[in-house]
Amino acid sequence: MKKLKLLLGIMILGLIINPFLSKNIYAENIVHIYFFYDEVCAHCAEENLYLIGLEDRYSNIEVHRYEITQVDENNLLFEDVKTVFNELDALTPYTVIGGVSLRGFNPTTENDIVRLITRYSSLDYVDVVNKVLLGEEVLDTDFDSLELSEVDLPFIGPVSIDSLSIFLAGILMGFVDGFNPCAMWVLLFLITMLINTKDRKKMWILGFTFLFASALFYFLIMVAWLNLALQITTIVWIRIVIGSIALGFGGFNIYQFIKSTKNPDIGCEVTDRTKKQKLMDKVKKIVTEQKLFIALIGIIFLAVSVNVVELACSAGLPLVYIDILAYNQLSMPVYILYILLYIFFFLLDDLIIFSIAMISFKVTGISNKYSKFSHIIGGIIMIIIGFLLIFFPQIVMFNF
Amino acid sequence: MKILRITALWCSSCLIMKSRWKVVFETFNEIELIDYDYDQDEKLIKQLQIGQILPVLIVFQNDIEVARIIGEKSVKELIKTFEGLSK
Repeated sequence: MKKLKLLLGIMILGLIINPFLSKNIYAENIVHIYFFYDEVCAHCAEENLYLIGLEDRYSNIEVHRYEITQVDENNLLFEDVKTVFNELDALTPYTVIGGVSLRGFNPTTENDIVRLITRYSSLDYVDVVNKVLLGEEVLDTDFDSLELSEVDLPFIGPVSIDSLSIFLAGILMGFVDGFNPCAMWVLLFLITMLINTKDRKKMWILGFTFLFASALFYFLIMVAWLNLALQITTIVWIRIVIGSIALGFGGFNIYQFIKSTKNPDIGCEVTDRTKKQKLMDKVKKIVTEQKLFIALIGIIFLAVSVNVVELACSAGLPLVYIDILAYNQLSMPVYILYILLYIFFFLLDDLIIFSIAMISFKVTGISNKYSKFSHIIGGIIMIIIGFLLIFFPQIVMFNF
Repeated sequence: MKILRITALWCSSCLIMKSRWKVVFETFNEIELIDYDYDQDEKLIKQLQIGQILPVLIVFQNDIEVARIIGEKSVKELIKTFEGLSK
């Protein structure tokens, strides 16, 4: 219960303090942005406005502006920097962050700038323009890249490793989280009760509403956490704290697995009889309710209360998944798609059980041995991610 | 042979075991099966001290408890146990 309260507290805090945090981000690394522009160029003016916005948003960035048509010194530096990057034909606007140069300005440039700020806020980097300014030799290893590695998938074609990695993480983590047995029993009991009513229409409506409300609740909690995570990803000590939490949860999951191996009997654990009885009474009341509207409200409340428990049982998997998303600086629609992907796989086992029950009028269970393995798989995932977050964050950011 | 079978409506392992028990009970005749629900027959379940894992089969021969089969078991495991008891 304490764990549950803590988790909910973090989520609610995320929703509440989000608006206040946006201007107070700071990290240990100062990220220098070198912006070469021409005072009559329209795209330069656009980028300048964008950079002003970023200065307001990130307190750890310093934008160095060089107007190249009015100041000869600036133009000379521009030529030197272009030579170093072997981009002699480049025009303004021209931006350099660390070891990466960005030509022109468009929405992709905006994303690239934010990605580089995130990357360099928490990682050491070589400031190539500073080296040029100091007259130091620029080495080949000083250059960085935004180019994404790609893999060629059958039927799909080339896919960037970045997006493929997040995609696979979403599927795996959602699937493992879904096998958590904490709330599965409610769905089974609900389906059994609904089958007993022999009313297929009611079964459809109430069962579907239960699953939809569960997905919606999980979605809202994950979006709330994302709002908070997006504001704090650049703070180094927060990354280490989250990494440590992941290690803690991972260790706990592995401990649970080891504990379960001591008992050779795999089955349903009978704990918290009183609470279980209360929930069962609620389910019975909802199923036997004559007014559909009242039953629907009841089932929504049931779904929320069940998923609060489910969330506490998930041992931080959704929380860590959201952190991975936040570290990868994606656009909001893409965040939403990845969250929906996670939720789909999280609910997949429930959807299968519900669909079979709908078609066959029979309740099917999933063996508890899978939930036992979900502990060890979830634990290993959490430990790997925790370790990477602390020691090799660039891998979690999928910047290969 | 008398068997007390303790299950619960919410227990997925109990659902998994249903089809396996059916196979085994069809193989061994002369089985008197008595079903109890973990939630509805609370008092009796308490007396039986079944522990923390469901489902549970308690096997009696001549009114003497001879075996307890706890949790998920394969058909092969169940047949082996019942063959041993039938001897």
